[in-house]
Amino acid sequence: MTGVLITAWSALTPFGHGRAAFADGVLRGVPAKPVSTKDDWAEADARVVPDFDIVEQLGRKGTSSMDRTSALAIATLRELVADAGGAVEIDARTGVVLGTTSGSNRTQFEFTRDSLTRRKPYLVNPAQMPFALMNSAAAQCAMWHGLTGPNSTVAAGRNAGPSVLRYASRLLRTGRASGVFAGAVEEHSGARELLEPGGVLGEASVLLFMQTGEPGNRPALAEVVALDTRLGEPRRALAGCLEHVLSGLAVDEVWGIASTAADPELSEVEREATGEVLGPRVETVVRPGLLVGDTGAASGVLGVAALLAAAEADTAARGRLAVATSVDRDGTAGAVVLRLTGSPHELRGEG
Amino acid sequence: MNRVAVTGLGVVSSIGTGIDRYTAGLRAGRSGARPISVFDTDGFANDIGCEVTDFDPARWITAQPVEDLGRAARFSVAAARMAVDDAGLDQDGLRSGRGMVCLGTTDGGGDAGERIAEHVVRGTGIPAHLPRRVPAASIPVAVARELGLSDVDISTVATACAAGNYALGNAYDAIASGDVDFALCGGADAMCRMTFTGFYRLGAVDPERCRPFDVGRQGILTGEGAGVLVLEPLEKAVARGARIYAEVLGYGLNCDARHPVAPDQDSVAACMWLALDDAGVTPDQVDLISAHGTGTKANDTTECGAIRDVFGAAPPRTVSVKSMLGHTMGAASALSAIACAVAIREGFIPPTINHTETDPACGIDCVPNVAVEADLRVVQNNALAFGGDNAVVLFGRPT
Repeated sequence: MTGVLITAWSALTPFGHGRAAFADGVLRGVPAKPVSTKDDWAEADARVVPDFDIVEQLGRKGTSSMDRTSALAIATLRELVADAGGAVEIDARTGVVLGTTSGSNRTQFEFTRDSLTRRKPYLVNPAQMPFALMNSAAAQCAMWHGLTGPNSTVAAGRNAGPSVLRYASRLLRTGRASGVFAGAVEEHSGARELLEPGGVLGEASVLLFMQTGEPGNRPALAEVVALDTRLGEPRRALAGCLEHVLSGLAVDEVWGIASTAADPELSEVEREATGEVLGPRVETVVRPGLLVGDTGAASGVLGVAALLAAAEADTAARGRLAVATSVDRDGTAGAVVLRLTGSPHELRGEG
Repeated sequence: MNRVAVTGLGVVSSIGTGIDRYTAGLRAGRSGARPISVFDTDGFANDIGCEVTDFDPARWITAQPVEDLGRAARFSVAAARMAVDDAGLDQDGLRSGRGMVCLGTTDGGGDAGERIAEHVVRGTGIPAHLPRRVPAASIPVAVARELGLSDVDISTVATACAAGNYALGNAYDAIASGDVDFALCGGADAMCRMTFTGFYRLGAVDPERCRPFDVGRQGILTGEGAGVLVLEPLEKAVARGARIYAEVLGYGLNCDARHPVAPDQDSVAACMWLALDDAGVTPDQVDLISAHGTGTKANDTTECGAIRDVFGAAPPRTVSVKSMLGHTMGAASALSAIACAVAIREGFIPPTINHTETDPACGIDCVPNVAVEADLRVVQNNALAFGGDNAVVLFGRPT
């Protein structure tokens, strides 16, 4: 049967730029070091993507008013394509699906501030406007990389993982896209500190490349087997998701779990719900939120990436299931089940 | 694959709340334009927008504190409840099924965000309820919570000004493929200072009225509101004896991948072809186009050029409901889609109001100022967005 496959991924995280840096950080399990940040809106310790200056990364053209969210997404996509080699096939129907919480808060706040404080309220920077919109990152990815397929932005906060994967899978299953760069970005800024007080915030951009195909015929890292989201009392909602996505699957097939929350309360919800449904004996548990901070919309997709990274280092993972969970303070919960098919590098070697 | 029916409609708009008043407004060619009151317009040379003025959130929001919800979320809860009632569905029935709430938005809770920024600029404390209103997902989450839905695909499509059609497309696929039993889909936005200021700075706000396709057009009026459609499998709708406004025939999505704000004619035309092919419809079968029709120089010329590229020298009548509603951003293509469904069901074409003389560069019949009776079988709903995100949906008369 034709399924939805993940064939490549990359990420820019507090561990550094690219897949290897994040994989290494996850496997070592030592939290990234928070740094002092300060802008016009707030001062806070946070885990940010290191050495990421927009102009240094992308050059001067088209970047003078660009928001950090868009720049992180463009750079991640570039990194993914460079890293994946032949695993990424781009054509006119290649799309982008990006998760967010509310776009670039910093850009929105600056635009508002300029309107409120300048001599006339309309003396704002007009070039900044498109970058203040939530669809900027996805649209910029399309512009920089020539991607003319469906271009969607899915706002789902910390549940962007399952939401983005579901939306992208639907585009692929219906044939509306031939391949999708699916992921999520959350920039760090003082503006976001004001919106998410308490806890150490993180910053990350993570992208998967997804296509349909038969796992045996196409080099793939994993197949998306099932996913679900629910709303309600968080522990019950998440347990409901897990029961639903694992129905018909054997629990002892589950090799790994990614609990993606950074917040201790939400993390506890994930621990309880996975314990209730999966029992205590799953071999591998990754908690990227505890390593890179609260990366908001990026946290769920980072959970998927963390599972892929851990699976690549453990031959016992091949052919087995991995589950990424997520919960948000708004009462939404979600779970994604992957079947780990092995690394495309190895498959290419065998072929 | 299921065929997909539109069985319920809910509207909060500047020309009327509720489907009956909205329909009456469309038929009468009512204008929602009035001075903006939701934010301070001091220092701008003009202050006209299409604001919702007759809205009482407490009438619709009973399952959660009104204070927790931003303005767009409040509009959405109201529109969703109206749509469910209009579809003749009861809430217990909805809770037992697998559902979807998929809403599009441009600014999400951005109006709350800009209030927070203002508190910081002025050195006043940030009220505790404001940050909760900012995440865009709070909009459909509020709808699901109000309706008591738990087993639900909650999606917020934040694809700027085409978000309503993006949400409709996602819901169409979810119903067609059997992923869900029903979908509440559409879009919502609240007036915000940022959008007004940005378009004003770009010289794209008309000082008085929105006049799409007119030689004298000067831009958009910013607007607000929410539009929610109930979609369900056609077969089920027929079986339960539901009133069917229209069938969703298909849709298309693409991206210009060229420019952050200027639309691309070839790409817009390509998107229409994607939708027509998906719906299995040829251009000659389309009876009406509800255009994106913002009233800016660039949009209307480019969009009409794309329409002529696809439909030839004599395209179907092409109207802009933004002439009445202003540009309601994430709600725009949802309210326009509702106008399409109503037009099919009621047999009339809503006019393009404020019209004096059609711009020859547009070259379409925009049904100026007065609604006309018409027998409509296939209607096309266009949406374009900053970032080059295009979405076109096709509706048909139920057969």
